Amino acid sequence: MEFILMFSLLITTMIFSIFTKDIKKTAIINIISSVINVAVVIYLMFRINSIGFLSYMNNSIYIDSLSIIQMFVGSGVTFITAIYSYRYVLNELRDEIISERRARVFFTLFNAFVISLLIICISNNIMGMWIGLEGTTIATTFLIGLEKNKLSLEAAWKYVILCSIGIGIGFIGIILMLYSAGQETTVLSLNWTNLLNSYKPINIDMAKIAFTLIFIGIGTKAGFVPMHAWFSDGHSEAPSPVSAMVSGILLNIALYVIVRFYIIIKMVSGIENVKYLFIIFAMISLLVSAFTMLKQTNYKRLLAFSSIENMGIISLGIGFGGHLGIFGGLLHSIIHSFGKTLLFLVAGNLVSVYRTKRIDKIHKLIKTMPMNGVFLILGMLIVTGAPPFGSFFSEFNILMEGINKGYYFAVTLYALCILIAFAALLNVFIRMIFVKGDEEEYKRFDKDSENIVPVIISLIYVVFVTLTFNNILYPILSKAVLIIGI
Amino acid sequence: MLEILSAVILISAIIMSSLRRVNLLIRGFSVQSLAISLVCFTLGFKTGEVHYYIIGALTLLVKTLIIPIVASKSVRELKINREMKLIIDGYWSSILTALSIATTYVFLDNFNNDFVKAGFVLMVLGGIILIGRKKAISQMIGFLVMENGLVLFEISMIKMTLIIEILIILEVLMLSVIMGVMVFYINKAFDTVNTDYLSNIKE
Amino acid sequence: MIINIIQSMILIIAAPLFSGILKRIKAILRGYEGAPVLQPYFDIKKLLSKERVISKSSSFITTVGPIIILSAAILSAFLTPVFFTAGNELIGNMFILIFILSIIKFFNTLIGLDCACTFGGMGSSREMFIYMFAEPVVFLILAFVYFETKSFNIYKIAKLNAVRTDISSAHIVAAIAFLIWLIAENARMPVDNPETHLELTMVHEAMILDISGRDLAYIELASAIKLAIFLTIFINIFLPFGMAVSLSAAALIKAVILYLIKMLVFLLIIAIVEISIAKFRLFRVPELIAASFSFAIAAISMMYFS
Repeated sequence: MEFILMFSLLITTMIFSIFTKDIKKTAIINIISSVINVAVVIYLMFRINSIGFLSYMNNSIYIDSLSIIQMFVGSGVTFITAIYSYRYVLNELRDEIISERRARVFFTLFNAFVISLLIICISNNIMGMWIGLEGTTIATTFLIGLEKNKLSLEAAWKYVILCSIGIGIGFIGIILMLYSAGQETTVLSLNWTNLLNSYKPINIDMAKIAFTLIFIGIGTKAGFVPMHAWFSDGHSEAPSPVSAMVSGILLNIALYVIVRFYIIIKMVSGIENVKYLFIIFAMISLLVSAFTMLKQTNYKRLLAFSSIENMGIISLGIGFGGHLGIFGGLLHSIIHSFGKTLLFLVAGNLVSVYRTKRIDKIHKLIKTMPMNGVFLILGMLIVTGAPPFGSFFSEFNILMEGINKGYYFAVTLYALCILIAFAALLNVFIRMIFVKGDEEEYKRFDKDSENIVPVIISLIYVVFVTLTFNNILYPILSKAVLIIGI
Repeated sequence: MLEILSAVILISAIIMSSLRRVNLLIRGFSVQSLAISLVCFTLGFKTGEVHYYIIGALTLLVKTLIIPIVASKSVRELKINREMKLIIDGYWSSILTALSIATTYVFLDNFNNDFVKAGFVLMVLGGIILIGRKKAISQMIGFLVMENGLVLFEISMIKMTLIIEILIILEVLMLSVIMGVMVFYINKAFDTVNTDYLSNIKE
Repeated sequence: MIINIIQSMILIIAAPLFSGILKRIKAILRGYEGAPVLQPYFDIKKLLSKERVISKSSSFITTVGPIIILSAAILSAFLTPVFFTAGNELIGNMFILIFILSIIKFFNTLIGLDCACTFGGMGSSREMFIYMFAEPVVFLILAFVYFETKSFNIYKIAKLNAVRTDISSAHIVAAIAFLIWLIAENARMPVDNPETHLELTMVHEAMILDISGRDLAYIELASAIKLAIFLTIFINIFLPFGMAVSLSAAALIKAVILYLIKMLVFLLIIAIVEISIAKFRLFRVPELIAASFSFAIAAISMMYFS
């Protein structure tokens, strides 16, 4: 059982980080456990590629292609951020921004977060998925408020209030959904695989309401626009590795949970139209985030809004349906995770040198921090879907699917919004990298190449996915598309 | 017995929705939680299932004792006793309460369980408390009222396996403890727990 | 028929006793001895023996007002069951009862305005301000009672509720709403302080500041009867267990004793509330009544949609 290995490793790291005062040792163990995690996930990928799905423990653990994609993304981002946080935490400790106790809390919660993610991915029980989501809220609250200054506490407070309300609404939705099947009297099987086959709501309206509640509630965690208030603040104030993890994993995983319920609901005849929920929320997210990005002054906030925009693109793909649309959505979610991780880590490097998040305080990065500057441009190209990278293909696929299905209005708006987002990001990064400021001359900082390894790894991941999504990864992705259903 | 308890739960929620004194809010909350734990014990006694007792005991321990004690301690230390300016003032929040209760009952017309409705009402009223207050501590109480609703909803709507129910309850309680700790930190960082000051993050 | 008249007579006669008991309980709770419980009777007797003094500038309202108030109070006492109900009386419609009780309020405000004294006008406007908010609540409570018992007749309501064994949670919530309304309507503590004559805060006392002698006795007696009637209505609608529904001696004795106990308990509750809560500012009174409003709405929705 691979999971026992994974969980025991994570839990050991967690306990170790609680009790050890040597932060360096903890960070190294953290990296090792995440490396093993990645190895196990890749092994599982091969197995799933050959046999289709795995199920253990009386079918309470169930992994198929859809969940293995999330695990791949999750373990990858965890691995990258684990490497990054080694240097990051030691630097913060040296600069006395966080105390040694806080650093220990960081590693503990880091692992708790990964454990919750794993629970969501492998659980076959829909309540188990909910529990995992709640667990991520519990773990990330203190990670966002790690620095304990006013801004980060404010962000964490918003985060915990909004997300837990959202999760609560999602809980009501789940219960209503089960109740609408008329199963309130028996101890029912909450397994996703069972529900997939046997979910027959007696009351169709109630099932509709239930799915809407689930979508809105869990969509709060996925960062759809009317519920996104926590998102921009949380991302801009959290420590950079944490924002990378939240942006790269948590959003995807929340969307993954919604999609799991969507798969059950769309089988019911009479409520096929729930896909419009995805489309409408995606459009709102795209519009609002694209136009908000134009007037940002804080580059981490800019990145956060870019995440909202990308979530909009993904859910648009899922809403359009069809092979191309869903394939594009899945591919985009993978590429976006690694690309956004890259960008947030670069942003973390910038913050640790400049100690500011304002765009107009940073000039001529190409002279001062050339490597980070180059990666900033690369990451920008990745998240906006510029041609060499896989995100171009995913966005193009979604566009094609929209045109095929005849959603002309949505497609127009979508194209416009990605254009605006591209313009906004380009404008800001060009200003940061090439434009001169007030200073006379610019010297290269020593810290430039200090924490560049994880950034390179995330670029490698992106390139890997770009190169392989049409050959090696294709079977898994297309199986996942079949699971969601065309 | 169950009727009286559900009446107590509703009455406390309605009173709390228009209160402006923080320590009264806390006391109302602990009365409400006590009623909920008694509901759990009564249901457990009636059905003979163990998990009701566990949920009841956990609620009793965390929500009637620990959180109110911690919260009233921080109220005493901060010398905040009342909300000076509510976002929704007492009069309108009562009216809003009335309307939302009526809407809830119309909406949930075809459920036959009293506690499902009471749970939903608690969720809505908790939302009103949460939206209408500025102090972090009363926002926390509003959130906890919502959670109480969630617990009621959960124990009365469908039956799940024991471990899942207990995990849900544990996580919900953990969130409330985390909120208590957050209030503590916010109060240390800001010297106040007024969320008016929490608007430093600008666009 | 006869028993109805007798029980109403008893209620009228005992009304000052109840306010005496209330004052005594409050005194004891505050830690001093207080006046004897029969003191209101002595006060009324003393006032009745005085002659009438009426301001020259006042109109006929002040002349006839106190008598109308007293007669309205006595009339409404004859429309309420106290400890016995057969359930088939023609009298006893709740709306009539409430409106007759409103006559008391109406003439009180008129008297306050009539003498052209500043305090009187102020008291009247305050009274109307509170009344404006409190009036919708009682209709909601009546609607609740109608949904519960399908009747507007208080005798019938009392009988139906007396034999009921299960109480719903809506019933309790509505009882709380009624209790708040009762306190507001009778000018009791969080709304108005019945004990002081402080210019800035008084509501009820301000209106009758100019009245003296016999007229004052009438008004005092009327307000004592009003309090007793309201408590009786409350007991009969919401807690009528043990009420006599047949004319046997044992049932009647049991009913009387239970009635007295319930009355004493509520007087105690009011006393405790009065000594433990400070008077609200006038502009916070609507908040209290709005709470009562939402209780009533909650009760109705619980009753109607279940």
